This record gives sequence, structure tokens and C-alpha cells, in this order.
Amino acid sequence: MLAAGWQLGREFDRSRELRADVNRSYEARSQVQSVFSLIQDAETGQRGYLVTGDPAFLAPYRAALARYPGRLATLRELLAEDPEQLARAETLARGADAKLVEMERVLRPAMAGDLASARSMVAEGSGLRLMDSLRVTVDALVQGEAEALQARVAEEQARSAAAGRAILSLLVLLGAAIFLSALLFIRHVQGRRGLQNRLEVVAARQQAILDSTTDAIITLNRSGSIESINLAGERMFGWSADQLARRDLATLLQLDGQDERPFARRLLGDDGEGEVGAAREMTGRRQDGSTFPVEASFSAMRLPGESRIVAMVRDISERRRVAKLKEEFVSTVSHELRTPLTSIAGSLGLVAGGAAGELPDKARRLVTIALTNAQRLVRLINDILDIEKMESGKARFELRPVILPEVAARSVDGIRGYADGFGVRVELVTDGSAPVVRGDADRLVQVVTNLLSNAVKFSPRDGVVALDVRSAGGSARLSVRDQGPGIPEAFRTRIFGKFAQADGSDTRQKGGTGLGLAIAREIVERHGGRLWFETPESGGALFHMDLPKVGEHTAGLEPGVRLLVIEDEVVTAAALREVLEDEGFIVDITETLSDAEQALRRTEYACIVTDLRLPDGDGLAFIRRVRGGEDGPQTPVIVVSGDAARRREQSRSLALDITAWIGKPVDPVRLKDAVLSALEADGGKPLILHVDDDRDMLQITAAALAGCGEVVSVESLAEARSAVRRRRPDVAVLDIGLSDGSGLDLLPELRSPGEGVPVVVFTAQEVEPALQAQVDAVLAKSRNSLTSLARIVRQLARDGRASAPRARDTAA
Amino acid sequence: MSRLSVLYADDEPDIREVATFALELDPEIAVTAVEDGAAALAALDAGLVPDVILLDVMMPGMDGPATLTRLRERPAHERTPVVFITARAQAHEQERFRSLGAVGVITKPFDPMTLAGRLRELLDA
Repeated sequence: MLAAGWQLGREFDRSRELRADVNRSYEARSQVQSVFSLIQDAETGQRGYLVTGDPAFLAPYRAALARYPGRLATLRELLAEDPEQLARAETLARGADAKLVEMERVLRPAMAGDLASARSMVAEGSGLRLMDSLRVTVDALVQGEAEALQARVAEEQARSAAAGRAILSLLVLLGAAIFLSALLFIRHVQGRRGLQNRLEVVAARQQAILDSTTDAIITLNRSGSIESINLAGERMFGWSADQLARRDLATLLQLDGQDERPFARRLLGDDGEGEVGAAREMTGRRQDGSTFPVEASFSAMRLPGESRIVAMVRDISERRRVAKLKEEFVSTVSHELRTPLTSIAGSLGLVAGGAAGELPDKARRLVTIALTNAQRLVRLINDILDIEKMESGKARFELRPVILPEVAARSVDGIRGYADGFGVRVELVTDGSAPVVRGDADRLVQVVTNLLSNAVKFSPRDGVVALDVRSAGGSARLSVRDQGPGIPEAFRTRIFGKFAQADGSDTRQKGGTGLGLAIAREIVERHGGRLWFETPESGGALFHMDLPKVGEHTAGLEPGVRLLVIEDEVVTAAALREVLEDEGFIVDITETLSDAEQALRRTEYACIVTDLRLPDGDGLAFIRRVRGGEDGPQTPVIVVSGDAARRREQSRSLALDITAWIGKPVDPVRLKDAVLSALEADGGKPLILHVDDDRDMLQITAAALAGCGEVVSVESLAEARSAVRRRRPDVAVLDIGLSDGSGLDLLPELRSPGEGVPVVVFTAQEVEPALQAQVDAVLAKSRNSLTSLARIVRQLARDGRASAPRARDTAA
Repeated sequence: MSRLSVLYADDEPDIREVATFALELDPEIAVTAVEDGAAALAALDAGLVPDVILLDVMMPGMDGPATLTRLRERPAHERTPVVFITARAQAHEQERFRSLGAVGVITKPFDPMTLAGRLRELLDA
């Protein structure tokens, strides 16, 4: 385009120049003619005068002479650019000048009156010759000018044609370019239109989806202002989308109050960016101010360069109403069905029990059938209520440390009569470990009883049901195995379902409700455990209940001072054991820190002897971790390391209270001294005697007091007496109502040798004020938590030691 | 076995009869059965001095807990042990009844052959 324009411009300039050249050429020619005609005019005037003698003829002659120099100058100017023509013009000027001089010369005698000599001078013919040569010069000038012009025009035409071709090709190129651009543009427009159509379809579809949900969908910016809300949202809250634009979300939802975090973090959680938030129940507020329950979930919506929050809000008024109805219904059923059943089962029980007199055998048989089924109906109602409670989350579990083998033992005791009825023997097997789990003992007994009753039901007569309890790493497993027909393949997938029974007829045969395993599984899962089964090749069914283990019960451990040695080199470990056992300690050895950690959870150790470099970590880091905060066990630690001196320096900043650093190979005397002095420094743990006839209570209390000292738990007065004789406690915790007397009967023994053992009465019974004066503290079981008991015991143990250090191990 | 005088209120006549029968299987137990809380209070006003009061929880008019509250307002019966008998078997409900001041809760349906023993157990505990 530019090239063509430039070319065209140049062409215009050229033709303008050409026109100027042509004009100049014609002007030059006319000036030549004009100069020549001035000379002719002058000659004519002069001849006229010479012929007539009339001076009037001299006027045109003079006029022509006057104009001549101007014309000549103009001509010179016009021809200035053409040297050849300029030379010709000079020739013309010289010729003209000569002619003018000739004419003056002729005129001079005529003016003096001598016309004849003037005429003879003319007749000489020099004037004519001069004129002829002038005419030749004029013709040459005109001819030259014409030729120059012609050449100029021809040259210009040739150039013009070339330029025209160039412009033409440029224009063709330009046309092609324009065509191409047009084509591309059209395509682009078409593409855009297609994309736009698709976008519109997608947008319309999404809008339709948004508008057809029954949940409110609200988009918010990160500070909580509403940006959009769908149709359902408008309906739910009674606001229009326009009214809500840029209002705070608090207009619609009552947000939890005092949280300093930015809005987006509060909704999405500190690290919950992009995660779909869990639904939470909140309160919604309509435009008219009324409120209603909602379930809302929030998630982040990432857009290029920004992010939004999407809130999904569901009105749960109806769900709440239904839940309430269900609850009321269940409660009604519970009461209304139980009331007649109470009469039925009660009456039948009395009759069958012979309370109304002896029955004939046939009548007794019939009454027993009626009673059995009335009882089954009661079980069914109980199970339905149970599962309902469980599913609605209303079941309350009292989680406490529970010793699993005891749950097993209780369950076996409970089922024995039932099993006898089937002629089945139930055997309890344990591997000697006593895993402790956190759980609701009654609920766990319910689970195990259910497993056992199923096992008994499906066992052949004279069969054996084996129940065993084991520890497996971090979990405790209770398994029930029977010798029955096993679980039919087709039934395996729905065995834990509600009203699930392998065969419809089983219900009648076996007397179950079909809810037992569903309930059992719920209970186990609420304990963070798993209920599952295997089908052993040897036949029968094998159910497992796995629960997270929180510890190991140690009541069965031999008495004595236990030490924990953490050492992975077998030779060193054996050497340490030998040295320490020689001193009368009980030594447990672990090769790894993780085993050590478990051992520490299970057992109280008087002292830890540890290597530093162990397969799964560093001994010092481990000690620091185990000791935890101030409440952590402050068991004395002795380090045994080949690198003891250096590590000791390094560890100064850790402020770990290490009793002794011993290098390797270990010097037995140093080790013995270190352990003995460690135990001395610790002063041994205070010995706490707890007497209570409730075994569960003993366990819970022992767990609560573990941080205060060594707890000796006994169930009777007699055991308590022998325990006191064996080793004098630092603090005694007594229950009053014991099977063989009152805990207070111990007081004389505890007070006797001149120095009193502090006594805490921990009982559910009322204590006479007079008695209260005799003891150090009275705590009612129902009103005082175990933590306050622990606090008091710790205080008493410390005070007792400070004031009157008493001899320990009086029995020794 | 000591003699035990029981005042028992229950609005269900059948259950009342069965429970009375079951309790009196123990020859040392004498039961005075009435149909609701108001009747129980009336019996006390009439001079009955029971060793234990057995109250159904759900009764028309004055229910078990309301009756217990009234009893505790009377100096003469402030310390008479009360046992609830109820079809509401849920643990937290039983907990609530105990917290009202009952010495125990017997759930319906009960085993008639051991009912008397169960009552004595609760009183001894």
C-alpha cells in the first residue's frame, strides 16, 4: 500500500514537472519568435523611414528596441537549464545585436538627411544577410526546443509506463492481501459466534441446573459479601438476588460469633482451601426475620487470578421434624408395647415359675412357649430401640479404660446358662496379655455376648465355642470361633445388615432378632474399632473385634523393682541384664524405641537404661518425647553409650535430667551404683494403697493415680491388712463398705507405729462427721472426680515425705 | 428376711396385679397397690407407713417423679426410699430418675420370679 502510494505520488510529481517543462518549452519558443519579431518590427520601421523619410516610422523601431533587452533576458532565463539551447540563444543575441548595430549604422546618414546613401547601404544587402542568419538561428532554437521536449515526453512516457506496471502489481498484491484479510476476518467472526453460542448453551444449562436445585447456592467474595444466589436461595430466604447483592452473608445465616480469623478462613478452615467443606448445621434467617435450621457447606471456587466461596445451604426443617417424629414414635412404641408385654411376660413368668401352683406337663410346655416368645418380643423391641438410638447418635457411651479379658470373662459368665441349654461349652483363651482399651464395658459385653450367643446357637451339640483375647501391635483383638456350619457364601455380604438372617426360618428356629450383629458393629465402630469375620478352612465361623489398645494391664506382673533396658546390641544387652539381675532387679529389654514406648505404656519402670544409637531413632530424642510435659513420667534415665562423653556435652542445652552417663564397655560397678543412686534420688515412688470391693473402681482409680506413685489395689480388708504388713503405704485410699468389714477398720493399723499414714476415704456412702475428723480427706465417689482424688493423694504423699520420712519396706 | 411393707402405684391394673403377685411371692413382703401418685399420697395420709415406695414413672395426673417431689416435701416421708418402675429403659433416663433421688430403677418388663429379690437388693445397696 505504502509503496503504491509513494509510487503514485512520485508519478504525480513527475507529470507536474513534465507539464511545467512543456509550458516552459512553449514559452521559450514564443520568446524566440517574440525576439525575432521585435527585430523584424524594428527593421520594418527602419525601412519605412528610409523609404518615406517620414519620422513616424521611427516610433515602432524605437519601441521594438526598447522591448528587446527584456525579452532576451526572459529567453535566457527559460533556457538556463539547457546549455545547448542557451548557446543558440547567445548566437541569436549576437545576431540580433549585430542586426541592431547595422540598422543604427544605416539610420545615422538618413537622420542626417542623406537618405540616398542610407538606401545604398541597404542595397548592399548586409542587413538582409544578417536577417537570414538570424532566421536560421531562430529556426534552430525552435527546432532544438521541440526536439528536447519530444525527448523529454518520450522519456517520461517510458518511465510512466514502468511506474504504471509497478503500481498495478502493487495494487494486485494489495487486493490479494485485502481479500485474504477479509477471509480471515469472516472466519474469525464465525468462530467467535460458534464459541459464543456454545458458551450461551453451557451458561443456560448451568443456570437451569442452579435454578432447579432445592438447595440454595450462594457465591461470596472472600470477605463474605454475597455476589449471586440461585432461585432456590431466593425462595428459601425470601430475598431477591438484587436485594442481596453485596450484602453480608450474615443477612442469611447466623455465623458463629467471636472468631478473629478472616471470613474465608473461618468458613473454609485454615488449610481447607479448595476442599469441599463438611456440612454443618446453622440457623438461617428469612427476610421477615423468622429463622429455620439449615445445613450449610462452604467450599472455595478458584477462578483465574481470584477466588470465591460457594455456599450450599439446605433447609433441614423437614428433616428435623421427621427426626423428632421418629423419636416420639420410637419412644411411644417403647412404652406402649412394653406395657402390655409387661403384663403378659409377667403373668406367664409367674405361671411357668409355678407361682400359681403346679401345672400339668402339657400346660407347662405351652406356657413356656408363650413366655419364650413374649421374651423374644421384648428383645426385639429393645434391639430396635438400640439401633435407633445408635443411628440417631443418641446412644451415650461412657468411655473408660477397660481390661478386655475381663469383658470376655463377664460375657462368658453371662452366656454360660444359655450355652448349657444348647449343650455347648464356651472356653476362654488368652495369651496372658491383658490389653486395655477405652470403652463402655457394658456395651462391649453386649457385643461379645451377641457374638457368643450366635456362636452357641449355630454350634452342634457338645460343640465348643472358643473366645480368645490377644494384643496385636497397637490393637487388641477378641475373637469368637465356633464349630457350626459357617457363614453361607450368599449371606456374607449382608450379615451386618438390619434384620439380616441367613434363612428366614432361622428366626423361628434360633430366636434371634436379626439386629444383633448390626448393633454390635455399630457399637464397635463407635469405639473406633472394627467387627469382621473370617471363614476358616477348617469350618465354622470366626468373628473378630479389633479395638485400639491404650495399654496393658499389669496386675499380674511379679512384684519387684522393674528396670527397662533399651539396647539393640545383643551382647551388651545380655551383659546389662546380668549385672542388673544380680542386684535383684527385674529387667525388661527392648531393642527398639517403639517397643520401649509400648513397654512404658504397659508398665511402670523404676529406671530406664538406654543406649543412644538405636535402629529407629536417637535415645535422647526418645527420652525427651517420653517425658513430654511436666506431667509426663519423670522416670530416672541412665545413658549407656560408646559416645557418652561427647553426647553429654551436646545434650546440655536439652535440659534433660539424665542421672548418669556411662561409657562402653560398661563397668558393672559404675552401672550398679548409677542405678541405685537413681532410685535413691527418686526416693522410690510413693506407695498408694487402694481398698475397694468394686473391681472396676479399682481399675479406674489405679489408672487415675498412676502418675502419683505405685498403686497397690486390693479388694478386701484382709488383703489390705496383709498389704500394709508387707509394705507400709505412703497414702491409703479406703472405701468404707467392704465385703469383710469397713475400710475404717484399717485405721488403727495405719496409725499404730507412732507415725500416721495419710488416709483418704473415697466412698459412695455418707461419712459421719466424727469419722471425718480422723482421716485426712473424704471424697464422695459421685461428687468428686478422680482428678481431684489424684491431686489430694499427690499432695498427701509429698507432705508426708517432707515431714516424716518413714521407713519403707517394713516387711523386709 | 425382714418384713417389708411396700406401697406401689401403677396405673396399669394388669401390671399392678402381676407385680403385686410377684412381690408377694416373698412371704415377708406386703404390698399396698394403688392406681396413681395421688392415691399413694392419700394412702400415706391415711396412716400407712411403708418401708419402700414403688412408683411407676408414667401415670396420668401425678406421675412418678412428681409424686417423689411431693413425698420429699413431707417431713414424715422425707427418708422413705423410693424405687421407680418404668418401661423407659434407656440408660440416660434411668440416670435421670436416680438423680431425682430414687434408690433404684426397675425396668419393665420385669422378671416376676426375681422381682422381690431385685427390690430387696436395691434397698440393701
